[in-house]
Amino acid sequence: MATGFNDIEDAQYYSASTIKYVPDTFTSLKVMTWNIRFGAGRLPWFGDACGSRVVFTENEIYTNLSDIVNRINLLKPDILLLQEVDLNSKRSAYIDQVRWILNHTYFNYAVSAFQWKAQFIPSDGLGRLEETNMILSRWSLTDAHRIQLALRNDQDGLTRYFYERCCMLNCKVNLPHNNNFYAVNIHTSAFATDDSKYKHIVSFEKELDRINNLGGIFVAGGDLNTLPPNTDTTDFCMQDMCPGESFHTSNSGPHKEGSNYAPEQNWLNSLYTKYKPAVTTNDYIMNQYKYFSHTDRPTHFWDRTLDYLFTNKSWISNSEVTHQEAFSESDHCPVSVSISLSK
Amino acid sequence: MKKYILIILMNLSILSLNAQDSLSYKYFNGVTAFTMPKHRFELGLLDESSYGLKDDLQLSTPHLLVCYLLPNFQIKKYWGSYHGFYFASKHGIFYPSIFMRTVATKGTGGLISPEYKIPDMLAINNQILVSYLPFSKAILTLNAGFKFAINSGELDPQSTIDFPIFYPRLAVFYNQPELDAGIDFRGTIIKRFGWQFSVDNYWFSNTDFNYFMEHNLGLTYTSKKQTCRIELGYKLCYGKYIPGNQWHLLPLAGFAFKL
Repeated sequence: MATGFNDIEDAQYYSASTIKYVPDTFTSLKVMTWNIRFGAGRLPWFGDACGSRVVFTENEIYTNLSDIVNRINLLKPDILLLQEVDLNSKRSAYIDQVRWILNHTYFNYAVSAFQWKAQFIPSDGLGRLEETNMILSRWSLTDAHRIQLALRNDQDGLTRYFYERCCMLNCKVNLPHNNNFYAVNIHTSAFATDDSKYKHIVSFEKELDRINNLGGIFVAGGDLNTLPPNTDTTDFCMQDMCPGESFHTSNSGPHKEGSNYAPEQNWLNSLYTKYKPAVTTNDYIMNQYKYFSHTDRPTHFWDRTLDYLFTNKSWISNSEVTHQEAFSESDHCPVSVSISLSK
Repeated sequence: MKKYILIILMNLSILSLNAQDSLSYKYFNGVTAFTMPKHRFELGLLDESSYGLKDDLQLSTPHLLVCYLLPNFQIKKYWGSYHGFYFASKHGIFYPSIFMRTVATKGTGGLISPEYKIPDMLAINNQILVSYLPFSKAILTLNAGFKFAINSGELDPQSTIDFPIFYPRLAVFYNQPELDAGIDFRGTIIKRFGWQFSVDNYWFSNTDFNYFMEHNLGLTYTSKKQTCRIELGYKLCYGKYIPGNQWHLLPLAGFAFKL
C-alpha cells in the first residue's frame, strides 16, 4: 500500500505540450527554489499548521495553483526547483500538479521524483498520497535520478511504512554550449527527532561533491528544514505550539517536532564553506529577517530561513531575492538567485 | 453380471447424492437461490452469518461480529423452481453511518477525514437470484439487483474511502442508484472439497467513477456433517476510482460453522 524505493532510481520525465522558444546564448541563468505546500496556500492543514482540514477541494487547490504559477510567470526563473508538488493525492483533490504547473508556465521540460507515495494511508483520512520534488527547465533535462535519503528511525514501524521517504532529485540541464550543467533538488525531513535530517544534509553534500569532482557545474538547493549558521533564534517550539499542546515544561524540553533547531546549528557549516550559498553568511548576519522564508503560522510573517540555493560556480552579486511578498501562495516563499555563466 | 452392474450403479448414485450433499446447496448457500432449513444457524467469521426463519425464508448478515458498526441485514425468500431453475429474491437494508463516523477520526484508523460530518444513511437493496444445476456437482447462480440510498443530510463527495471493498459498498450513498449483476458458480472436486467462482459487477449513476467488479475464486472444505465450511482463495477487484482505474488482488478467506 506504500511504495518503497531503491537507493537510486530513474526520475520521471515530462515535456510541455508545446515547446516554447528558448534563447541560444545567454550569460546568466536565474534559479529559484520553492516549497509550494501541495497547492494548499495558507489553508489550515492538520499536518503543519495546527489546522483541522485534511482534504481540500478542487476549487481551493486550483485557486492556489493559479497564484503559484502567476508568481512563477512573474519572477521567470530559468530553472525552478519545487518541493511538495502533489501528483495524485486525495488531500489536493487528485489534481496532477506536476503537469498542471508545466502546462501553465513557460517551462518546456520537467523531471520529478516521489517524496511520498502511498496508495492508501489509513490515518487521519489522508487516503492516497503522492508527493514529488520537481525540477523545471526551459532546456531539456537528462540523466535524472531519484536518490533515496535515510529513513527516520524515531517512528514506529507502521508509521514509517506509510510515511514520506525523503529524496534528492538530480538531473543534467542541457544548456546550449554547456554539457556539464546539473541541478539538484532536495527536501529533507521536517519533523525528524533523530539524526536522519543530518544524514540528508550529508548526502546532499556528498552528491554536490560528486558533481563537483566530475568537473560539473551545479545549482542545488531546496527545503533543508534547518537554519543557516549564526541564526539568532533557534527554538520555535512556543511559536509553533498548537492549542492543547505544551512544551518546555522542564529544562530539557519537551520540544515540538521540527521546531527546535538548536542542536543543528553547525550542520550546514561544511556546505557553506565548500560551496557558494545564495545568501552569504555575512549578508545573513547583517539582516536575518530579510531572508526568512518560512513560517508555521498561517497569519504570521516569515520567521525563519529553511530554503537554500548553492552553486560551485558564482552567483551574481546582489542577485539573491527572498520573495517574502509571496505570502499567500504557500508556507514557504520562493528564493531566487542568478548564476553567471560567462567564462 | 446384471447383479454386479446394478450394485455398481447403485453405489455410483449414492456417491452422486453424497457429492450433491457435500456441495451444500442447502447449507452455507451464500449467493445461491437456495435457503437453509428452518432454525439452522450458521455463524460466519469473515463470512456470511445466516439463520433459517422458515424452510423458504432466510435471514443473513455479512458481518455479524461487527454488526454494531455496520448493520446490514438481508432476507432471502425462495420462490420455487420451474423447469430446473430455482428462484429466490433478496432484500436488505444497510446502515453505514456508525462505521463511517467511527473511521472519520484523527490518527491511525482514520479512513475518512474527521472534518466531514456523516449523516444518517440507509441503503435498500433488492435482488433476484436464479440457480441452475448444470450437473450434479455444481450450482450456477445468476443474480441481478438494484440498490438505492436515503441520506438524512448532505454527504461530502470527498469523504469517500478510495479503497477496494469499501468504495463500491459505500458508493451508492454518493451516487445512486446502484445496479448490480453477477454470477456465482460453485461445485465439488472430491467429497468434501469444492470450488467457488464468482464475478460481481456494480454500476453507479451520475458519476464518471461508475463501475466496479469483484471476482472471487476459492477452494472450499465442508465438514462431513455440514457443520462447518472453510474457504480460501483470492479476490480480484477492479474499479473506476477517482484517482484512476485500479486493480487489486486480495486474499480471500472465510469460515462459517453451524451453531
